[in-house]
Amino acid sequence: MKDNRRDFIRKSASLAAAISVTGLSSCSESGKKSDGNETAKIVEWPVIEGPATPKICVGLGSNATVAAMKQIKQIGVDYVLMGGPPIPWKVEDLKAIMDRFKAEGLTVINMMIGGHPNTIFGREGRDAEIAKIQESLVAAGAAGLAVVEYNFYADRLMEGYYEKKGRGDSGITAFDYAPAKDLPPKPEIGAFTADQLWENITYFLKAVIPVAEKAGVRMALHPNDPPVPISHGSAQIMATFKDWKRLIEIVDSPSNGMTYDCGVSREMGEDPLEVLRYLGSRDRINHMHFRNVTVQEPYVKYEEVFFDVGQVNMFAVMQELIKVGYKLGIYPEHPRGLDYDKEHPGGIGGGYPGGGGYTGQAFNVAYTRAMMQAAQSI
Amino acid sequence: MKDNRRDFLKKSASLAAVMSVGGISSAMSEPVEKSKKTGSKRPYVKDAGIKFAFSMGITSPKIPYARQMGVLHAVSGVIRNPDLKPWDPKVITATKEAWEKEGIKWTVVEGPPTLGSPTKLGLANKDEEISNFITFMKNLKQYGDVDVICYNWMPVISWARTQMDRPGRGGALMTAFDYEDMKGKPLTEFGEVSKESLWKNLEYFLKAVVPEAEKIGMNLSLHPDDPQVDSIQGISRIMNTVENFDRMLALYPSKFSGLTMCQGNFSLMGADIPALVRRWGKDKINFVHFRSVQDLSGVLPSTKFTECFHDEGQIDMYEAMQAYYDIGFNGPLRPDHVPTMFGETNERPGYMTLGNLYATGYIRGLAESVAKNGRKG
Repeated sequence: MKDNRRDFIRKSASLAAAISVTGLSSCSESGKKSDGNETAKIVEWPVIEGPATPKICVGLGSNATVAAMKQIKQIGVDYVLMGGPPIPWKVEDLKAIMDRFKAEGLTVINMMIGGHPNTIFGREGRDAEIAKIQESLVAAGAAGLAVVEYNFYADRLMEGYYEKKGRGDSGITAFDYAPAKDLPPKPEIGAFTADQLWENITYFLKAVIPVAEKAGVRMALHPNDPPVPISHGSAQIMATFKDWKRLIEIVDSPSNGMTYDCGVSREMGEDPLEVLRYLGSRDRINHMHFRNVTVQEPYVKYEEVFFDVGQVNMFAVMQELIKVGYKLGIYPEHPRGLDYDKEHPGGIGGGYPGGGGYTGQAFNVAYTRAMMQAAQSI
Repeated sequence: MKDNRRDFLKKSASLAAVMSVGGISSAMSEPVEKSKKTGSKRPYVKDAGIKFAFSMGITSPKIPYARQMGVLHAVSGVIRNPDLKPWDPKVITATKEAWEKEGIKWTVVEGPPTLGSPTKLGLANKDEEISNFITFMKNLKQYGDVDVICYNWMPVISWARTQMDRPGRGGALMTAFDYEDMKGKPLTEFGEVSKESLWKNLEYFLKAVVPEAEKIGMNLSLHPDDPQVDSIQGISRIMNTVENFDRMLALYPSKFSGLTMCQGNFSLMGADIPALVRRWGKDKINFVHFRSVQDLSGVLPSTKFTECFHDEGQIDMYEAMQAYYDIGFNGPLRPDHVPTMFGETNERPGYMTLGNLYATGYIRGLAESVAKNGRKG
């Protein structure tokens, strides 16, 4: 039925093209006859985001200027994410931030929560931290914040990143584990085993997920990126697909989810579609990063490249996202370093070697928007 | 906006019903369904095999960014030399070499020299102009390795807008046109110019030029009138309906007498872009201006419109890209007019840099979607 209707529209459209449509308004009388078919699905252009689609979002500081917000609006983005205030969050503080963005037509879809080192390390004081996070989740729910993202690592191995030159001398973010592999533990952190960290995250999740669930908030654990097994002597527990599967089983709740990253999935040598289907079909993707990589050796050596260059079939990822009914944030992240941003300071900057700012982000967002519209059109 | 589009679909659907066209397009629509559902069977080609281009001169600040975006074709005029004619082989050779140095292929000349009012208005010196045009064309192919010339049939008053800073999303600046604002403007020095004379002059031009273009393989690409209204300041417009393009194509039928599929203009005429792309196909479409528009007049053909970002207009951009892919279009394509964005002066409305980079991300995303649909890797 649907196909017939689509066929019909296409045929008529080609006829309209064939004869141009000057004077078509004279047909409006009989045009009413087609109203019976109005319920059939026709994708209307421009295809826009709706309650049932993913939402393209980008990062901004919670104190972003109105000018920065307008920059984001220009590239067609209506959702933003950011680091949250210090814990415990208060509903009025969250609302104040969210309202300021709302006034410029931006919805805060995700805030990163932090300030829980004792929880990660299983040290004294973790219960006080957890209590503050629980309070924050309740505040998030009351403020209407959909997703709270967090990290759970002892240390992030930033030392393996270096800049490479890509097409036209653009900046590429490359990673090599070799030179950073044997870096010693930092004295203020020490070295943790995977077992210790699993125990600590289990303690954490059992305390916070029920609160999040009750508050109507979804938590998204950011994977280890780079996904190396050891960082400064500490194990990483979010650096394999197996780890991710284990995570979501600790507490069985949609609030206990992840940030799915098709780039990181590929960095680990996994099939990003398989990972997406696994997490998506269980409703555990609570946030998503859209980016591409070229991997020389999984976990060990890879490059974060332009979206249109890497090994991930980005369109297949987008189609699968639509298919699993994902409707939270999709963040086209890690823009490449473009000369335009170097020559035009005042854009929104980036933080990685070989990484870029606003212009690279504009390119990424537009590419992502096109794929989202395409996937919705098929 | 939405209502207009829906209205349009409804109207065209009802027209189809009235005229019973099952036979006409069934051959056309089936392969589309197939390619959309099962995806492409062709080997994957970057950018769907289309040559991505920017409009830029040899001193354009866009050049380094074009390289970084992987936009490696230039739509550019010749580099003028005050001592030489623009069709001089030396001028053309120098332009080609300058682009080669930049690592970019010179692919299209848009708005060629020596095609102006004399030819379009049929003035006394038209034959000299046409003769120079033929020389330009031959030298451009031979010395410049350029095989697309985009020209238009808008004498005296060319591209016209009534507003250059209409605020769009986030305060981006868009161009806009309102036919009302043009009314009451005085005639030009050429007085009233009739459609008949424009047709006569166009036919004269094509009959003189196309046989030469055929010999050398130069793809002449007539751009629709922009805006596609009836007339401006007494100067008629004729390349402003789909039927008129059909008439033009029939004046001297040839692969080398084709058109520029400027999506904005054809959409404002009321055409369904994907269907039109499929109907005219690869033999008529030599160059693409891939952009979108929003009609503001509530009727088509439009008398009031704005040029928006690529993703927020009335054209089905995905289906358009699918149509180019299905007809095997492998010529040049450029983003055309874009909004002026954050931190940019509005000195060349429609042609500033950031909007072009945004548009490139968008067009590439669409091309990749079409070319990868149904593929695993």
